[in-house]
Amino acid sequence: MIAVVSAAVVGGLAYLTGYGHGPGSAAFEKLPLWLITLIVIRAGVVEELFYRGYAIERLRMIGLGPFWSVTIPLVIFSLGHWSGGAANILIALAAGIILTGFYLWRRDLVANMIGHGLVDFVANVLPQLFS
Amino acid sequence: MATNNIGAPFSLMTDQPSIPKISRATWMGLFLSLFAMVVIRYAFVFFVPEITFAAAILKETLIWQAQRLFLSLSGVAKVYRLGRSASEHVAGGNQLPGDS
Repeated sequence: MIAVVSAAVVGGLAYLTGYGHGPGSAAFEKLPLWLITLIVIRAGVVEELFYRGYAIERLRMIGLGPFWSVTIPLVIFSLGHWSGGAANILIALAAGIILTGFYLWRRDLVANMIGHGLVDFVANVLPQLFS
Repeated sequence: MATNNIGAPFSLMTDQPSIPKISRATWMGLFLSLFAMVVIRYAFVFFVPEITFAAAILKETLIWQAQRLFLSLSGVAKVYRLGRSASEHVAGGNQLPGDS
């Protein structure tokens, strides 16, 4: 469910912003498929652990309110994608809001990791498999 | 009236401070979780503007190393080894091993 909702929103935003057709994306697509797959898996596991599973809970624990403990990791997560341009920041922000929402709702970090990985897989690996 | 209770604890006071002491491991874990990937990405964009195979391998290796460091500092890996989800553990208000 996380993957489906995220993929729909991310796909829609990528289409609207024209993301994925820049020189950075072209260089990324030249990497071997196994490495792109590894990067996609890493992104799901590490980013969810860093920005959702640990940061939100720990910021709450050190005394921040619910709003800031969710917003700070979300903003850093989004801005961390600036290397792909403004469109990538916007897409990361939208995906981050959905993933954070699911995390707060279900508190299931593994599901978030799988959902995040699947979205990246659909966006980066599947097109190369069928091209 | 004799007042020899100066310094005595007020009846509503508790021995526990209201704000728990935050360990260095928690600050380090937070710093790593929030900024490690951003710093690594920024460094690569700055030094290697066009992504290459070697640069991608090095970047991924650095990110995995940052995660390993984070896991060992925060104790999340130990929690997972015990067969318990870290998110459940933290959401339950429990201390992670690295926070003691």
